[in-house]
Amino acid sequence: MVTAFRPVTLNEALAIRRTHGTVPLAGGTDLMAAAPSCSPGRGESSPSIMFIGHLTELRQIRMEQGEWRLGAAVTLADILDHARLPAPLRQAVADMASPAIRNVATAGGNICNASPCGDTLPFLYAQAARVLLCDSGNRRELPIERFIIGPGKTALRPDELLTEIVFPAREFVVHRHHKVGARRANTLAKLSFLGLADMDAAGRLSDIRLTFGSVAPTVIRAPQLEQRLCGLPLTEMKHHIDEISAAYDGLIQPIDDQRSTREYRKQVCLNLLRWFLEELIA
Amino acid sequence: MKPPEHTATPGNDIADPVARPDAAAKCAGTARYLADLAVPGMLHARTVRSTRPRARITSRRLPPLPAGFFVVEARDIPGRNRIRMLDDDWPFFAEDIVNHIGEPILLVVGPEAEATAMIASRVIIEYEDLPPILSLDDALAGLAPPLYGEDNCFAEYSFHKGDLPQARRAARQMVKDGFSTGFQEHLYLEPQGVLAVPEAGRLTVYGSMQCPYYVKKAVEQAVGEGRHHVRIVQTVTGGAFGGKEDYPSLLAGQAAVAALKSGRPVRLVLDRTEDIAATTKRHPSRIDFTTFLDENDDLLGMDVDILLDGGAYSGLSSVVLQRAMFAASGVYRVPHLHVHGRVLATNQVPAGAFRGFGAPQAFFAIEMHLENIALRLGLDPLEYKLRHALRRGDRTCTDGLVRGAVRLPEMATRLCEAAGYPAKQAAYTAGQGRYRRGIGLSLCYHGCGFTGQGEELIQGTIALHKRADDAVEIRVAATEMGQGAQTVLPKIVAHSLGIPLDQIHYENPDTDIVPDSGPTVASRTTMIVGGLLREAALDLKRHWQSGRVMDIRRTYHHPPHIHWDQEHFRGDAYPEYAWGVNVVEVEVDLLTGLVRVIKIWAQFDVGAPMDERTLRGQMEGGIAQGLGYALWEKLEVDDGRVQQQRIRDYTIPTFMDMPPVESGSVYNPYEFGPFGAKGAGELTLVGVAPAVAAAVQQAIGCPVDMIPVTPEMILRRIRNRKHAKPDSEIPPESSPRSRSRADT
Ligand SMILES: Cc1cc2nc3c(=O)[nH]c(=O)nc-3n(C[C@H](O)[C@H](O)[C@H](O)COP(=O)(O)OP(=O)(O)OC[C@H]3O[C@@H](n4cnc5c(N)ncnc54)[C@H](O)[C@@H]3O)c2cc1C
Repeated sequence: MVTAFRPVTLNEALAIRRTHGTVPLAGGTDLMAAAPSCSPGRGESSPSIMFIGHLTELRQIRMEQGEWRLGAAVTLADILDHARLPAPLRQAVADMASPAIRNVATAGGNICNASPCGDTLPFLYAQAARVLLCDSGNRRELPIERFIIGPGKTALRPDELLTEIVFPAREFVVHRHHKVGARRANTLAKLSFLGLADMDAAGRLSDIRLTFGSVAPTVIRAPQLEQRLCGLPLTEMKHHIDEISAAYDGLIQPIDDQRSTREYRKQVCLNLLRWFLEELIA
Repeated sequence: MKPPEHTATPGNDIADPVARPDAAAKCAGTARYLADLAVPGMLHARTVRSTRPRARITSRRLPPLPAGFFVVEARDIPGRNRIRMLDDDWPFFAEDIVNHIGEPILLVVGPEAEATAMIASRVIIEYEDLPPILSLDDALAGLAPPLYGEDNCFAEYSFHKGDLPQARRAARQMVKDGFSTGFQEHLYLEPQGVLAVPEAGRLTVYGSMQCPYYVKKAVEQAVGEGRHHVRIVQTVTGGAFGGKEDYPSLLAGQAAVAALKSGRPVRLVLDRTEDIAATTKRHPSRIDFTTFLDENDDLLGMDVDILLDGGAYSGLSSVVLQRAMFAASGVYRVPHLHVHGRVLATNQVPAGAFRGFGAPQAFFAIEMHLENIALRLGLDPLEYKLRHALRRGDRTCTDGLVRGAVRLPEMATRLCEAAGYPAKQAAYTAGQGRYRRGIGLSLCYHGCGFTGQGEELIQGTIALHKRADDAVEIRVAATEMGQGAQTVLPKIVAHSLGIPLDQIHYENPDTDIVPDSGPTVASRTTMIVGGLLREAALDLKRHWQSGRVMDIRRTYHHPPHIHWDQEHFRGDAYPEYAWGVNVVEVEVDLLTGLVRVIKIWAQFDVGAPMDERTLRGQMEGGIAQGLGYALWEKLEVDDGRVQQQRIRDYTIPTFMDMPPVESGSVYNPYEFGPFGAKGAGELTLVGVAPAVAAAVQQAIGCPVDMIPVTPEMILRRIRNRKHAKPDSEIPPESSPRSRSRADT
């Protein structure tokens, strides 16, 4: 037997969280799949669960002061349906799971699950997203890379809920997202690459963001390397590709597992990086 | 695509699709699968499995068992602790030795499923490890003590045709090639399960299965011959693909013994992880060719060596090997031939029956080999293959006679035209840029019915029972498992009798009612069982008396012209052959190694379709499963442990991966098949992998000698080529292959 709570408001949810702990269940697509024999709570220690996916406070998509604010329980399908959200986010979401799963799986769940292969994460890292965390009395904001500590580990406190995801409403002229999985749907990434770039009128790179998913405990992004590229005239880019590639080669340290090999993951990351940079020049 | 010849059957054409009788309940979710069945007083069983590939069990420590819970193990078996199969080496429960990870050691049985699982997880088995045989390489090296017999070989055969040494001397050229294939998991939607119900003097086992009479014999052996009346009832079966040919015998025996021990009904349903990790798989293979060409570059002789990985127990391996061997020279005329085959034992999950039954491995190898020979000679693979394809009147590899017309040339030509094969074949070789295209072709056949002496041994028997209300019951052991038997067999009877289809009844088999018409395997159900039903129906029609109860039985015998010498593997290995041609176009992303299948064109000769839509289901399903086998379905066993244990890790194709399929059939009736029908169930899978692999090989310009062709392997091949000498070209001499992860 599993005890389940179904609060009516966010406040009620936070109060339950404070007194009972309980495992928040948004879409349940990670929780259900992780539970033995696909029923959460089955097994020795049956923790209670709390449904939060229906809470209207968590289901808003808003633009405020130049920032997008996504409620934690916004579903992947909601994101796909919202045509004004940034294309690279919507593309990453379109490559996730399958329609039935996307109808219930949430943005907050993808973050709180903190999987190395969470497919919304590379975009959120690239956009320097922040997460809003609330308990029944307080709220705090953390940058995404400080919220996610490692595989399955976050800075979430036992009485908190993630309520909102915030990132600048900033579009990039060039964006390339590539998820490499074993098949085209319902598959976890072997690796993923997201490149965002902007050019100024003088043909210089004015902003660039490069992220790699599924090839380390958390998303790889190296702002210092990106900084070195900013201001570079595109005409000179070709002289730097080897050097950039070598720098990322050092950062990308994937593992061998049943899905793929270390060697493959690394090579494809570097191939996609090169291709992205070469395409910028062209 | 419906060929014009179809009008051969006058009036209401049997091929016209009808509504599937099983579809409505399956779509509505009201069909009751084994896991939906519960009977009063039912107990649940959970299996405790070996965690070691090879070990001696030194102790079994049980947690305290609450009232009503008990265990069942080898010593509880009143009969023989061996599953009745070809060779009884496979125990229901491990005794003192375990031979693969996942092997059942005991069952925990109790009134509550969750508590039963909990107790099972607390059973502690202690082992003393023994030196395991973890791969074919290990088995070949022979360092560990044999698992089976003295040579660790489940089966070894060879056969000859012509005079190979003479061909070797006369040859102008010799070409060597080697190929390997991986495991494949059936991944039927419904995991395996059985329910055993004891009644006074009688034991009924319900289950998801293909072969009720195999299960019956296995259960009788477990509970002791003649001690109980054993009755087997097939329940709605959610897919099987061969995986429910052998394994249900094991589960049924276990549940039956548990039911006898407790006197209560016992249900044993595997969860997905158990099912993937412990039930049978397609045999991995290595196949090597040494082929001799004459002065016209024609095939003169071929020496084929086939090695199959049988896993821990022999199961059906010897017959799988035979089918692989009889497909070794493919659809080709090879005057001088020697085929040698072995199945070796390893401490891995047992290999067993899987749609195609050895033929997919063999056809992958022979088709790639012929492709490579043609390319090496600078010839068009289509032309080269057709030049050597068997024709009516030719001799098969076992010196049987090709009696039926072989329509491969027109099928292949038509298909290649539709696909634009010749132009693409020429153009894609010189591909440029990130995305490279390739096109591949394969020709194949599938022997219909049991291999060799099988049909004669089994002597399948069917019955028709006419009720007083003039409705007719089909009584066969053939099962509906999604393939359409319940659609096709009633049509055959209705058309033969000339009565409406709704007057024909065909329930899931119950061995108390149906005779042993043989297992539902080997593409034999429509051709052999359906053929018997047609004969019986015609007989019934002749003697039809309205209002009277009538019973007719028929037993199968090969047509008189079929001869087979099992000792020398000589003669007609199959009564008839179904044929197939596949063309596949792919695009490979050289940056990621990802393969996109652009389109598949396929043509099949299944004699005559008994239902166009059911045949389409077989064509598209077989092609999907064949694509999975070729590209995506990676199943690795490392140190004896299956690595992909969850449904999300074992990547069968989704709709998003499926290319458009343009498939059709030609009408080429078989005299002894019902309305001309031959087999269609396995054929559609058999030729897919080589066509895919040939297409990928062309796209990347590097040899593809193993499946699945993963992106990891593609990138490794491309990189190695860059480092290799520039003159290395397709096809190279076969390279030593290891099944280590690094090579997949
Ligand atoms: C078939 C299938 C395919 C999938 N494919 C993909 C894929 O392609 N890419 C991918 O990235 N993922 C995939 N997933 C994983 C999953 O769907 C996503 O991670 C999804 O976004 C999780 O959201 P959810 O709402 O279902 O999470 P849940 O399962 O409800 O929760 C996940 C975790 O987050 C916690 N949590 C959820 N919401 C909150 C909150 N507001 N505050 C605090 N904690 C919270 C939960 O307690 C739990 O620990 C797939 C899953 C399945 C079953």
